[in-house]
Amino acid sequence: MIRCKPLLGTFIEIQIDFESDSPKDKKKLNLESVIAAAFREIERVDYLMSIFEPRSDISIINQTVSLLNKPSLEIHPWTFEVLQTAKYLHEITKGAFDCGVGHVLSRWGLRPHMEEFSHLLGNYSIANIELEGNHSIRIHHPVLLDLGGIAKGYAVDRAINLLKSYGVENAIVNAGGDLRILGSVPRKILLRQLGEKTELIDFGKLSNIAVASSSSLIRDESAVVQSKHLINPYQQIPIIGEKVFTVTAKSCMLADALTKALAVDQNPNADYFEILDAKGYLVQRNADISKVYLV
Amino acid sequence: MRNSLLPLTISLSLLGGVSPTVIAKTYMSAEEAKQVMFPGKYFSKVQFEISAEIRKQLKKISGIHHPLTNSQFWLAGDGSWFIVDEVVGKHEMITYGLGIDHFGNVKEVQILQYNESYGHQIRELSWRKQFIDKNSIHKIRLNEDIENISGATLSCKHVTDGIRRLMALHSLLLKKLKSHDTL
Repeated sequence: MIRCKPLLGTFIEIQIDFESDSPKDKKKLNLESVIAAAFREIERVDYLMSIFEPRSDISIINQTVSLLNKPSLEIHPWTFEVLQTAKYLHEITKGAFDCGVGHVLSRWGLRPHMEEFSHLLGNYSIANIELEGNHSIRIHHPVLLDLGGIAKGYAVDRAINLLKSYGVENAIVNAGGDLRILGSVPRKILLRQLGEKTELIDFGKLSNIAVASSSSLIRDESAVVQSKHLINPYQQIPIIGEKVFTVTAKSCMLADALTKALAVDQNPNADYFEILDAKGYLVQRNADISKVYLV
Repeated sequence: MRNSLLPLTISLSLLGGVSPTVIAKTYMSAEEAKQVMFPGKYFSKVQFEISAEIRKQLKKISGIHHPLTNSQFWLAGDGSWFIVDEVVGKHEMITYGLGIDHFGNVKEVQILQYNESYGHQIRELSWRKQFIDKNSIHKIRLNEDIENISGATLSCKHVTDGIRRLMALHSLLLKKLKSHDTL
């Protein structure tokens, strides 16, 4: 059974497979509600971490601008978990992955403008947020967080974990290109490379893995265009080009976030891939899979 | 669950010519979507006229230019609505179901069918023409094995605009309709 909903600004597909002769087939009537519960997990991630939702944890952090008392905020455990990973990745990638670049996106018009304190946001990053006990964070300096580079992957992981908790053994959750395969059945994966002529590249058959991709090319109503959503946090400039940055990892949160570090460093041999048991792939325009740069 | 595309596959495979690939996926039927959103609720299919004035307002609110002619509407006794609508882009055609509860809020959205084209040959042609014009030289290959695609995130903006248009239609017209008013 496969279902699809528009969430997190993209199309989320959830597919559950079950053996037709297994006893679980008797639970077929419940599959619809299991998938619905997995979608609710994703909606919850969206509600907690969206910058477009004024009462989300992230919006509240972003609106906390006091310079005087380094305010501490208690946040939802899920948001805390994502920030914990985001901070760890920021360290291990030496700043290539940084969720604290919301002010750059805002300045470029890709996010709502926060003029009243944009002057405070010069070179500040996720490093300005300190994690404390009880799911609290301390904001050492105002920062505009944007979890657009990691939350989608986290949402996929939450959905997969929920499916597992219901006893589902084989499933795929695909959040507009960031996907995770649960189970040992090999699945065919294709990479979509946008361009003058959009192509699909065979990425082979994979099981029990997450695959995420990023590209600075996006498709708007009439054409494929360069977007500035991929940012080099060191120079605060957009990453432009036609490459697709693809990462495979154990969790979709890691795969999703590491595509951003790969886009910045453009180095699939960077040590953090090995440390995190992940692999990075730079996919070039018109390259077939044999020419793809494999680690 | 994915039965509805089969006849289409057969008829289109006879068209011949060189051609783009189409990814076509059917997630659920309109009937299934209605049951998922409103289990056990009885709906009647309704048809009604939309005045030129309302059409104009809808275009302004949603930014969508293609007309609502293919949309289908069902109304329940308590004022809930179930609507099947499609959004057409240069590269994709998406059919979705929208449930509106009796308070006039979005209850649920489900994508029913998603079609996406690859290859620039198809770009200039409208989807309707692709699917209806039997004389088209473009052969469409439907590949149901293709299921897992990674790549740049595709935006669901078209669907969001479509939902905004239907919610505007609800506030301008649908909420005032009772089943006996319809044609």
